[in-house]
Amino acid sequence: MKHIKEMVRCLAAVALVAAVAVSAGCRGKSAETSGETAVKPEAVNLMTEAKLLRLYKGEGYYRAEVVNPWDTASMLGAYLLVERGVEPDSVPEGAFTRIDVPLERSLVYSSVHAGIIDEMGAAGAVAGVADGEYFKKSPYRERIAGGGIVNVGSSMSPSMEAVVALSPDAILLSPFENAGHGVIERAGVPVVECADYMEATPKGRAEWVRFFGLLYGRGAEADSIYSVVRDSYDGLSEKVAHSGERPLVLTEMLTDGYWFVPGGASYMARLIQDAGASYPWCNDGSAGSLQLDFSSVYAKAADADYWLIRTYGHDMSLDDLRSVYLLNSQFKAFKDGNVFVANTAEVPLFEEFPFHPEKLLMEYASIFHPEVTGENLRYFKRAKGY
Amino acid sequence: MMKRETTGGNRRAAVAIWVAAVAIAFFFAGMVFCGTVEIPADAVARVLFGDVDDAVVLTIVRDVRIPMALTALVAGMALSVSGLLLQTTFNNPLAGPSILGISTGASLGVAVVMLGFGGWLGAGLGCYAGILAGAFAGAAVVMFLLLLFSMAVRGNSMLLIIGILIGYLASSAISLLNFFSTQQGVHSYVIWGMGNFGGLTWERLGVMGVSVAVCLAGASLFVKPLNALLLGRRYAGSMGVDVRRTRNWLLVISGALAAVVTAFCGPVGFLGLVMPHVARMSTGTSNHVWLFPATVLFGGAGALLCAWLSVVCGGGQIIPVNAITPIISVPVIIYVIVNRKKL
Repeated sequence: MKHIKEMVRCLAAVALVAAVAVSAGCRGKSAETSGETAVKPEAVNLMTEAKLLRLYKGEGYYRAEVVNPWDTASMLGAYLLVERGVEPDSVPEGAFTRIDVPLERSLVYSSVHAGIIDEMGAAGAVAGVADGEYFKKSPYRERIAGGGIVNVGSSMSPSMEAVVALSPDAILLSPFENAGHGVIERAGVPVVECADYMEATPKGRAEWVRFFGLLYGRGAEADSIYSVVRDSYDGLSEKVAHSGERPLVLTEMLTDGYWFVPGGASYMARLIQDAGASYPWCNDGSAGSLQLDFSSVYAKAADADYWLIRTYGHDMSLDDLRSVYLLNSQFKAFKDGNVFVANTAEVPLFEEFPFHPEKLLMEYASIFHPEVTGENLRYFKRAKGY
Repeated sequence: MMKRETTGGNRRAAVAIWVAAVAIAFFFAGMVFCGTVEIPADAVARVLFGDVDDAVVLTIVRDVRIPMALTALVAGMALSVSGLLLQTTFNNPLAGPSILGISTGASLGVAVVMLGFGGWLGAGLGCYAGILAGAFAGAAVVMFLLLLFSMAVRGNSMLLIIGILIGYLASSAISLLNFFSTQQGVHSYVIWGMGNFGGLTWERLGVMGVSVAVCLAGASLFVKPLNALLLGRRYAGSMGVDVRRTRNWLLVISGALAAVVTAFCGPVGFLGLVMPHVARMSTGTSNHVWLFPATVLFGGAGALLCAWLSVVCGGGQIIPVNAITPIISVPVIIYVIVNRKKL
């Protein structure tokens, strides 16, 4: 009798296990077979390199989420991009800023964003800008001068009256930490938080062009631009990675006792390393700038092979560099004449590199590895006077 | 009895001066041995005794740390004496180079150079001479205006108020320049405005040191008139002091001291206001025979302390000097205000 009871218990246990297994198997099969329809298309983030932007395709709309760069657990903005004049069948739940696309009368604060919008062929959809004096390239310069594009004044404190009179369909601006946008937020116009400048990788920032493409109805053009950038960047970095020697590179210079260098996890540090060079602060985990003094820099980079400096409005010579601070001449790069200077008032470095990092990568590779790429400098010049 | 008191006061003042001198030695050594880069003390000592075995360590200790410590020392001395001269001249414990608009005038001169030329001067170049010239010119303009008004205004308090108003005007002009400037220009100006003692090489330190030494020597000639001014304008006049002329000279010297420091180190705040009070409280006397050297030494020690803290508290980075000086100075200022009757 006792054995019979044990057998019954065993059978019951086996049956239970079998039932659970079959049930689980059925569920798995069900999920596999109906995978294409059960998983909503929205669930796939279309961005592959950008960390601060998530882009999802829904039925009749795109959903974009901009991550707060200073608190990545929160959102800086969430947008629903809906084709102008078309009402989607359904919209996702949640608080979104609805933007009717393509934009037709946008207000763009940054000449960098305006540049890529022009490259996509949508410059005509820019009706207003801020800090108009920084828009030095065609067609914006002429249109601002001719009044075709309204300059609403300083991006830090734009003229509210000019913004209201312009009545833009969206405002594209760069956010700052713990700072709102003042009265602009009360204008009832969608504000697109362009946090691309906080991306830590060159390709991550460049990929934001795909978001701008959707905003301006130039999705195909934007995808094409980005794929060319990505392929060129990857190809070149792969090429110089095998060149063997990795020179040590120093950047920027002492200004009034402070030397700001890019942190080890920053965009510029990444670009230098992708160009086949070593960076003195590569082990630092900071994505921003490091505020150092001369001693700290000299202790790490006295033997740097190359020194890259960006100035504004002045082609600095080695004599200038020495006269600014005598100890600058102690660096190996200075003694070897390997100081390269980009006068950003004259070359479009800041305007181009955010969405075309492959151009700056090529520049760096030309400096560090001319044997691989040839010496073809677009932004930098070797400092004269040595 | 009087003689005994005076002797006791002298002894206290002498002790205070020795304390200040020891503090200078202590903080100076701290600046030389501690920095943003870890260098073993024996390696630093070898550099000091000329037994060099590492070129990088040599450069850091000899050409960076020692000039920085000397810059702080000289700047502190200059600002403190500037403050002392102004406080006695205006008979106001809250007078100082920054209050009178002289530092702000120097800042405006630098702002014109950095921001008024599209920012390219401030990008660092020939510009260094431009920044020096701008600081001197700005301070000189404010001093000239003060001297001009001193002919029309009798009371020191009124002249002090005019100085404060001129400072506001200069600040307004700086704000306007910032508003219309390029981002690069604003960036350069903001960095300059942080104040620092670490931007001078031996060559420039020599220029600054000689300039300050000349001004301090000039100021030391006014010790007796300063004591007379403590007793009031009329009493000073009765002692044969040409009050207006003395006041004008003191303004020029204090303005020159503030301008030199602002030109080389940026607008370093609070030291000029506070260190004369530290000297007064330590020496327990208002007699400038003692107060003047004590202010020189306490000023140097205070600036060295601020510079040392800016280095050791930054965790490998340099904290702006102007972030440190208020922490040390504000409690002293509040103490002075609360206990004003005792001064």
